[in-house]
Amino acid sequence: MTATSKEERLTELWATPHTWYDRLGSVDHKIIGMRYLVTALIFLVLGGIEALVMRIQLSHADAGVVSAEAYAQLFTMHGLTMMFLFALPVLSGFSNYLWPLLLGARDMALPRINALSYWLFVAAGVLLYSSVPFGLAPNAGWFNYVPLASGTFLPRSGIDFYALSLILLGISTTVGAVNFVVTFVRMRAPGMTLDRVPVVIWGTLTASVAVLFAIPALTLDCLLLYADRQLGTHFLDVGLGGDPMLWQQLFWIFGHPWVYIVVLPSMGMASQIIPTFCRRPLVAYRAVVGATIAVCAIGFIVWAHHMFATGLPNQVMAFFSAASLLITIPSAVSVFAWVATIWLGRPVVRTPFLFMLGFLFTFMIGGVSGVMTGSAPFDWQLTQTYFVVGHLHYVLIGINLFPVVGGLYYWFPKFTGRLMRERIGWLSFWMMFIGFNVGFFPMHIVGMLGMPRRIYTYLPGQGWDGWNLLITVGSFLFAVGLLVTFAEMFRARRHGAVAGANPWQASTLEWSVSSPPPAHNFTSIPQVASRDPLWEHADEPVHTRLHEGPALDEGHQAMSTTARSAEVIGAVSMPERSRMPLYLSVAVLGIFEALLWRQWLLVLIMLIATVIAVGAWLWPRVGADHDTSPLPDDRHPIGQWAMSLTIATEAALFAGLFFTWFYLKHHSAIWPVHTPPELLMPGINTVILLASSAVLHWGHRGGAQPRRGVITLTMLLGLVFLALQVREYGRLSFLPTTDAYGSSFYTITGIHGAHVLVGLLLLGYLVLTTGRTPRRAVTDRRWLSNVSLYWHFVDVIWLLVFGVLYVLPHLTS
Amino acid sequence: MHPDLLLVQQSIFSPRGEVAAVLSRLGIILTIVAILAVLIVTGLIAVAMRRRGVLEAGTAPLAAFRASDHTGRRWVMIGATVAFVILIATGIYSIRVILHYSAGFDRADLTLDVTARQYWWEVRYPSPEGAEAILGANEIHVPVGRRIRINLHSGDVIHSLWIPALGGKTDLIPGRQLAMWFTADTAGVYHGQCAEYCGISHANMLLTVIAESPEAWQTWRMNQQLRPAPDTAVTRIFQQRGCAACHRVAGQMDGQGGPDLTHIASRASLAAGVVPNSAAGLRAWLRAPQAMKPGTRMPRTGLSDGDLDRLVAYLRSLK
Repeated sequence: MTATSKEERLTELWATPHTWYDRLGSVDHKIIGMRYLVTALIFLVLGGIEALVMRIQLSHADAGVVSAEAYAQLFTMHGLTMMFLFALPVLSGFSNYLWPLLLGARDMALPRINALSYWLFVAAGVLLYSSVPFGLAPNAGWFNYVPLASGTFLPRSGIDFYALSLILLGISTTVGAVNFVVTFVRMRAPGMTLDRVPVVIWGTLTASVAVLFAIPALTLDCLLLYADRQLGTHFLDVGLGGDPMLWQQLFWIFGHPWVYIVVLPSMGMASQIIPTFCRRPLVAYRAVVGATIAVCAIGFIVWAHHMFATGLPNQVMAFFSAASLLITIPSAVSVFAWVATIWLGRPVVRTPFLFMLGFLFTFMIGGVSGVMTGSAPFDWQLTQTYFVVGHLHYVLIGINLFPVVGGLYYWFPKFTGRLMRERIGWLSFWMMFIGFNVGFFPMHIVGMLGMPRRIYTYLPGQGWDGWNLLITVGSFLFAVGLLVTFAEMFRARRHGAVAGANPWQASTLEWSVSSPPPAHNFTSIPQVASRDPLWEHADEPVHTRLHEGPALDEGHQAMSTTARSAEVIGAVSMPERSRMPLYLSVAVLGIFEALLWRQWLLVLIMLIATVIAVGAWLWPRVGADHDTSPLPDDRHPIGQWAMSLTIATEAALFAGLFFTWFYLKHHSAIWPVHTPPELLMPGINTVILLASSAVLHWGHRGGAQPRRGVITLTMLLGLVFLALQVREYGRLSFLPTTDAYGSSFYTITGIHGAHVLVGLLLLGYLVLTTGRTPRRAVTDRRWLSNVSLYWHFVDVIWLLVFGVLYVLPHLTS
Repeated sequence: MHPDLLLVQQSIFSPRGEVAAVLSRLGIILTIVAILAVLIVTGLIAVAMRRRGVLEAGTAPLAAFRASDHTGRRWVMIGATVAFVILIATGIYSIRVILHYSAGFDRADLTLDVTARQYWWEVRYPSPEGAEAILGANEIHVPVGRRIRINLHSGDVIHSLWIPALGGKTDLIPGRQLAMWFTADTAGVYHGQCAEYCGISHANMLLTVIAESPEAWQTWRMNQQLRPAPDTAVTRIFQQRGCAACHRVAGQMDGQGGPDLTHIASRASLAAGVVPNSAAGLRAWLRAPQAMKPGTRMPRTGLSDGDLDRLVAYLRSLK
């Protein structure tokens, strides 16, 4: 077969037709990535407008541009928009577009999940912004402390928009993160060992792993808040055994890792772009990768540094202060690796590099002001002031936005095939850089002069007026500088100079294909021999082979490789286009809208619609996704990875629930006021649930095909468990609305029950689809193994629930 | 109190007490180290940029970079080591300050209770010899040179008490028993405000500490224990307009939840620093409190002009 006919065949297999109806079902990572980028940039504009209105209000003392209530909604929406709807989604956009190209792959491992992740992100943004026409935007700040955010003090539904949209966005982010991790472990081009992975990948990978363990804390927090506000529970209600500090603990357990989640991928972009323009590989690649992982790991043990003014015990304060300072070390490793790369290279200053230099400078300032706030006693002065506002903008704009804009200049030619103009890039950069520093550096100063954050007005004569005017002027200059880039993007998209495949003479695989890349990315799967494949010199002992690899043009296929050494496992069939992710997202949005307006019947209808959409998505169908080519023998196939990662994030959710239980138990004055539940029936119930796991396991010994009888028996035992659990509820002397103990008891057992229900649905799906053509026997077996994994997990969780909620109170009383 | 005193800056680097001085010293050192670090690294980058290259295909063999990689890794080692030394020093210094501060709680000369409410501060002074409690609002009177401990309470949401010239901030959290301490070394009026977002009038929740000589403070306290004589017409207004539901005037009404009015005229401002305490200010406040302070619990009084005059005159007499 000639190269051209291969190309044609692959294009036919991979291209999304140009009708809008087909496009809605596109699963092409490039289309999804571009959608992510554009949507995130729209949110950036919205969040920016909110910020500029605030800056007009604060430009002078006693201004009356907006009301206090409008100001509260503005700063809350600005924070939510930038943190949640811009900072991570824009990085997801880059990663989605670039990962398969950087990794030498045809697509992400889970293309439909990728589409789902995008549509759910849109749904969360729509849900949050649907509050605005009602004048009900959230108004308690992006970290939304209770009791202010409780039903007592802010009874109108703005806070419910907050809680529900963040839960929805959490689902989007989580499924996206699972996809990145699975893609990393299975979709790297043959030969791309861990040591040869482009450094930008490590940033997103680390952030994705962090997402799996951080998001559950936020999801849980928002769930508790929603339940307190709308269902009458008392988790955060100090009057009935709850504790408002629980909100802060869970929020920052999520919140601080989140900061690293939104900066590590962009730091990775810097690590990728700086070497290109220094004409040499990154110095200390391994140290930088190690530092990325270390920052993220330490990021999970610093959350209480947001709470230094809440009267923490000395030891706790010392620990969190020390851990926060410790982050300096890996950060210094990265900074000095970049500086050394510049020093030992031959820098060529083009717009993307200019933005990286701007990033380095702002990163330094954001880093050292972070050390200042990391010192607990000095933070007693700095926390909740404009100093912190300055610090966090240096971190987020400096480490997220500057690399993102630099990344846009860098990869725009790859996305569109056209170059943006250098002159305009320089103009935009200098306006942004000067505007940013003029606009945000003085925030540190007014903070030190005593200006608290989140004030809509201030009295004249405190030495704040001039600084605030300067901040406003700088912010506008910054915004105009950004608009210059946007305008140039619009122009260059059609009229820019033609870029060619590799305008920057960069080293990574995405630059080996045409700009924009073909639908199938690579005509033949590359065989990678180094970290900088396009910089390999003729003298090199081994070479990356870009054109000799297999074409995989027998079907809609991608190459899967092993996690560590990237050895070929075999070709895997990739899913076809599907609009199901879109329909599913609409159904899920329906659940959340119904919850918001407390339409319980509609919630039920939308839940059923969701189950139907998932069923339709998973139903075996004739088509290329079930082609007849043999599946490679993979001991840990993509589906199993996805299930394991989902279980990991679910485990983190339950860890959060147990944290809630023990935290409230420890801090509550009235815990428990009730006699603990009896052990006999729940004990029997435990045996029943364990028996179901045993049946499922022993019934399929030796890797047999799913057996309908065995699965049905497992389901029966699960149903009995649920029925007995409901009966137990009827015998308890307390309700979820009685006090925080009751709230926790019902919520933990209830969420576990919901997991049993999901397990039953999965088992039911197995019963219905096993042996159904066109699905192959090996796929049935994999489904069985994944569903079993989930079912056993749910049982193990029950043992913990039983131990903590039922047995422990008897042992300690 | 002279109104000009309202203009003292809320800077954390103009300490007027032991705690603030310790924090200010720590802060100055951290700020200097921070600025130096930024300047040094920026300088390194500037020097590193001196040898420019060109964008062209064909580079040196990757192996050729190995030698300089070694130099690069040394850079990273040195950078990380310097950072490590700085952070160890910062950590030790910070922990010493934490211990110093926490040891100070045991040796308080005077203990006050402050309860924060949306959007004002109630200050309760210890009452001598079983006398009635002295309740103030939005002003904390303290004797100079004495160690003041404040027990912090919240009547509703989380607030944060912060007087930058006297020390750092501590939150007031429902259900938690927190405290802070400070000293004021020189007489003066020190300004601060709520530092934790507590609702729409968070910006309008100001607070002053008035430090006086111990003698002047004693005189002030004696004065605060005096009960004003009632005025029957005003008593009628208090009852009819529901003032008594929230406000207290010692010996006349005993409402809770709003500021104590027994010595309202002795305070510099109304409504936690947003309204000057003059006849005109008081009148404006009583007419339209929501316009001056959105979200305040104080309702419109709807008083006739005559009643308003009478009420303002009486309240102005409560020195």
